Amino acid sequence: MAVEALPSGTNQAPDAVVGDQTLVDALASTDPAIALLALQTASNQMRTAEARQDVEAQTRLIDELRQQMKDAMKRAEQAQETSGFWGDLSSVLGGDVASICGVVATAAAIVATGGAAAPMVIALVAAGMSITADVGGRLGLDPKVCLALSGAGALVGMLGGNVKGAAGFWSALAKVGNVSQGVAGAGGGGAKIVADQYQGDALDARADAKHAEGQQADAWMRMQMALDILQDAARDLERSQRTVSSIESDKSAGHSAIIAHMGGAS
Amino acid sequence: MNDIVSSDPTVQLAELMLNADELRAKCDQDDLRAAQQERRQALEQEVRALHEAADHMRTGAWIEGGMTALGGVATAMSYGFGTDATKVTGPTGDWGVVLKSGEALEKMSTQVGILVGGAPSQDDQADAKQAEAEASDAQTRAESARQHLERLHTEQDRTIASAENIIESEAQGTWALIANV
Repeated sequence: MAVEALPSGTNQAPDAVVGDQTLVDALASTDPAIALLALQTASNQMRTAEARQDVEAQTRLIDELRQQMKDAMKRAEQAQETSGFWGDLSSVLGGDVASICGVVATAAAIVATGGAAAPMVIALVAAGMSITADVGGRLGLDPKVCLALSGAGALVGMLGGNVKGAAGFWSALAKVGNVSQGVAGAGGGGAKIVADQYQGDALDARADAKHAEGQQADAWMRMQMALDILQDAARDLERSQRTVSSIESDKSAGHSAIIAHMGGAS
Repeated sequence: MNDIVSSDPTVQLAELMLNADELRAKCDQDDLRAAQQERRQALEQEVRALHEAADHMRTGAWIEGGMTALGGVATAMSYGFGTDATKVTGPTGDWGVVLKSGEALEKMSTQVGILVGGAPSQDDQADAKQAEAEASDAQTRAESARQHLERLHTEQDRTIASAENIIESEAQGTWALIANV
């Protein structure tokens, strides 16, 4: 704590040198040097009392701001984590799930049309390749295995298309696949909105932390200024004491010299 | 700044030195105040830029996510309501238009999101970084001015102590002379 760091001499000097009663006595002194010192001490005491109050107030403020900063950083961290979750959900829904639904819909369409949909075979292969690149890599699967699987799926689709009785089922599946793809895409979009809202909250919290940091720096500066006042007051007092002591010592030396001179003369 | 009142040349020199130190201290105090003011302003600018970045990010998210979601809903609806479950055909007619619109929305969403939210947000964050650097520079200047001020105070103390010693020696000499006359 800054207050604890204050040199004890600086903090206690005015009280230690002259107490209230002593001050009154000193002000009533007939010796002008002592009276001057007492006046300066009185003025110093007022200055230091104000500065000391300021130091205490700023210390409290710094503690509060430190807590505010901590809270803001915590909020930022939590928002970032939540944003990460929704971001992952968005990429899974809008990317992986939508792609898989698309593949299922395409495969079902091929089966239902009995292989007539040749362009769709190409679409399936393309989709399979995209899935391979996207999902396979993420899951740690061998890309060649994924490609082979999608190719096999296409082949099975073409063969399966000859089973005319099942055409209704496959076309319904294709429809469900397409609808699901759209729904997954919409879900991905929604999750993206939530993720970025949290990302924005994290940025706001970071800004709040910065604001508290700035205020803390200001409070430090004000406390430093108050400490400077205390130091200056202590320095002034020390200087005055030295001067008065020197005056008294000169006076005493003068008296001794006069006495010595008188002794010599007689 | 004080007038030189002493007739003693040594004390006059000490007064001159103290006056010069006082002037330099005043300059340092001005520098310190200016640097602190600058730091405060830069920090305020940084905070403002970060809040603006957050706002832009949210706006971008609504645009991008909204377009994607709308596109997805359009796709789902066009397949759901615009196709026959017994035949494998894409949506036709009005639903075909809805499907194409949905697809277009989805394809455009990322770019529009970047244009409206992502890029301005990045700009704001860059501004915040710049303001942070300016605040840091101002802080360094303030520190430097403070250190200079402290050195000046030490020098002033030293000058005063030297002058005091000289005056005391002179006084002792005078008393010794008086005693020996």
